[in-house]
Amino acid sequence: MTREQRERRVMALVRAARRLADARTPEGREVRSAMVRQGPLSEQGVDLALREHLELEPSTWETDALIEAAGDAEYVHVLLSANVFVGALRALALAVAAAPRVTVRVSRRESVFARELLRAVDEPDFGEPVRYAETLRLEPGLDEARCEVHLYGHDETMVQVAASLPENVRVRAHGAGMGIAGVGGTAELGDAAEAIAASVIPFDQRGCLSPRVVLVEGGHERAAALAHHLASLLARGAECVPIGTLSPEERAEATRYRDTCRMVGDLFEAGGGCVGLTSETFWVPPVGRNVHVVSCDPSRAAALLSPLRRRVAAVGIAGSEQDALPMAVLKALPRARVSAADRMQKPPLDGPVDRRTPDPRTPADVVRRFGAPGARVD
Amino acid sequence: MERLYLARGLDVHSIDRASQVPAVPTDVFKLRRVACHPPDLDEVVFLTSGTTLGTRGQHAVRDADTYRRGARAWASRMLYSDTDILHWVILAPPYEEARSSSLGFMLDDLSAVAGSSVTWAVRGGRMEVDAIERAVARSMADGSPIIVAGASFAFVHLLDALRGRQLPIGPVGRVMQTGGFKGKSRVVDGKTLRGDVARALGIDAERIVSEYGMTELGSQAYEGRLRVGQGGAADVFHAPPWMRVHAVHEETLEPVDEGDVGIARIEDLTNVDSAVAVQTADRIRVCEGGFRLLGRNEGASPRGCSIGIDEILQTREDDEP
Repeated sequence: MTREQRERRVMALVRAARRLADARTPEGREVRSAMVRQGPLSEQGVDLALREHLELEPSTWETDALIEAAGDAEYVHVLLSANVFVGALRALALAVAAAPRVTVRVSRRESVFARELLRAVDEPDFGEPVRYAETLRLEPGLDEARCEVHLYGHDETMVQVAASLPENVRVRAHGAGMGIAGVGGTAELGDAAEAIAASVIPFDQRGCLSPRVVLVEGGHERAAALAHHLASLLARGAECVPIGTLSPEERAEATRYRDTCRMVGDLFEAGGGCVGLTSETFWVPPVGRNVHVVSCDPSRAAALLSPLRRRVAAVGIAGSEQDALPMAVLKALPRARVSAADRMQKPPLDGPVDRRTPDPRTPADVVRRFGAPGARVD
Repeated sequence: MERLYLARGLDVHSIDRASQVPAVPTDVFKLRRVACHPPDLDEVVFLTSGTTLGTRGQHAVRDADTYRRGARAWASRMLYSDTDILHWVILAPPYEEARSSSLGFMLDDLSAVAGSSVTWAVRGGRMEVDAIERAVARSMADGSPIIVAGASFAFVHLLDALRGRQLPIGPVGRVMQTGGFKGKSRVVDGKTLRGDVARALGIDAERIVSEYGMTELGSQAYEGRLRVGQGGAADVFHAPPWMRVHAVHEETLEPVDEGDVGIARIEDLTNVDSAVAVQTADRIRVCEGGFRLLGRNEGASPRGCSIGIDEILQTREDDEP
């Protein structure tokens, strides 16, 4: 494909996404009602995601970067997980930019958005339409070295699928992850809390960019003030955008998290979710609008984050990047996508969202990278 | 603890039943010291094998005799009520090399009081099959039964070391296995492991008894396989009289109806130095005489690309970016 053809295909998807984002179009109305029926987000949560968190206006620079990152293949098979649904736009954009022939297997738990998006593509020069497949299959007769499989999901899925692939196939593997926010010493706490809340509310902390933990510079009192602000804002936010449904297991984890916070630190209820608070020690709260705030001395940040190095996909900064804590966080997590704290859920359409594993790898590499505990990770 | 009482709307002075005591989630042991005494009075501190974000859970014990007496009394009833002297084969490194393990502490003590001989079968990180063979020979020679004890993953290593070979331990030999596999060996389904171990050691599968215990508890429950006909049921875990196991609703933490599935809330009087009521995430069904263990509530795989708690817990120390 020429560069122009790749760009045309990407922009056709973007234009289709615009139609879905607009609640006044028939496609926009249809996708909203189907997404609400499917769950787990609330009606307002679905609308917020479509309006605010789809990448609808990529700049030329961003599109160029996405096409560059997509590489060149003959055929791509995409396995979508029950991703945060707007992620399907980027996943499909990467695939159609990479190859003229694309098949996709959508997740049973999130089957609406990708189908609606592809249905809304209505441009004759898009090229060969994206096809659906129920199972992973490579086109017979194609050079395996020109085939790619794009995997989205949890570690186990990566390993299972990669292990079943011929060794010449290339695999783009995007694992699960989480976000961390860092609040620098110069940040105004009200602004910081507002920025973090803006990244917590969309998707109910189900995204790999969602800030599940917030590190705060400046001592426990400052962290407590931020936690208090954040809890108030989340409670207020829940009035406009109510939290979606949680599974019984997720609710059970939330109960456990709350009790643990009550014993080990402090807990602030926050409109269906909660904010936990501790000093210099933290654990990751379950999905739902739960956030853990921890006061952290910059000199301790690397040690504190060390067990999460491979798990953090995004870092959001409140305050100045020159503040000691944000600098320490960025140094500790060099592969995370970095943005301002309020932009964590609005990554530009500039390539894979996950910078931890940006390039295609061999199936064996993927098995090693995501494989069983004890396996060496490169 | 006071805040947990407040959150439950309880007045600490009005409590008159153990079941009213708010249970401490096992996670808390990984994050804070849970003890009613200062650290300088610790006689022993047990550490969990798994880590939460780099921290191992700990259980501080002021008087290890409480632990010893409970463990001895219940093990002698559930594992070897037919004898008071056994040859112990322990599938672990010698206790002196891993003094923070509560399982190691218990097996070291049990084998000291009820052992004709003791073989710690893991040396230098290797399973010493020769040493086990010598223990079996001793058992055959003097007629005292043999007990092979260890964590489930250690039995996987034993099977791997035997490479399909049999090592019969005699018809009255027995096995005590406990715990899971996470990060320690290949994962083997419990039923398969039981069958494979029974074949390898030449014993009836009913002589393989699972133990239910954890670092956070001073007491243990055992399957009643060796007590069938004497009040025990084969696939039911029996707790000692000083340990109560209730199934509670995983969200409300209220007791579930009899026979319903819930998560295990454990009241253990041997935890007198820490928390008498402990809340686990283990799914159980209470039944006559004990409870059936249905697995751990791992939490649902989150719907979305956010990482699940369980995946985070699997983060490995050798993880590199």
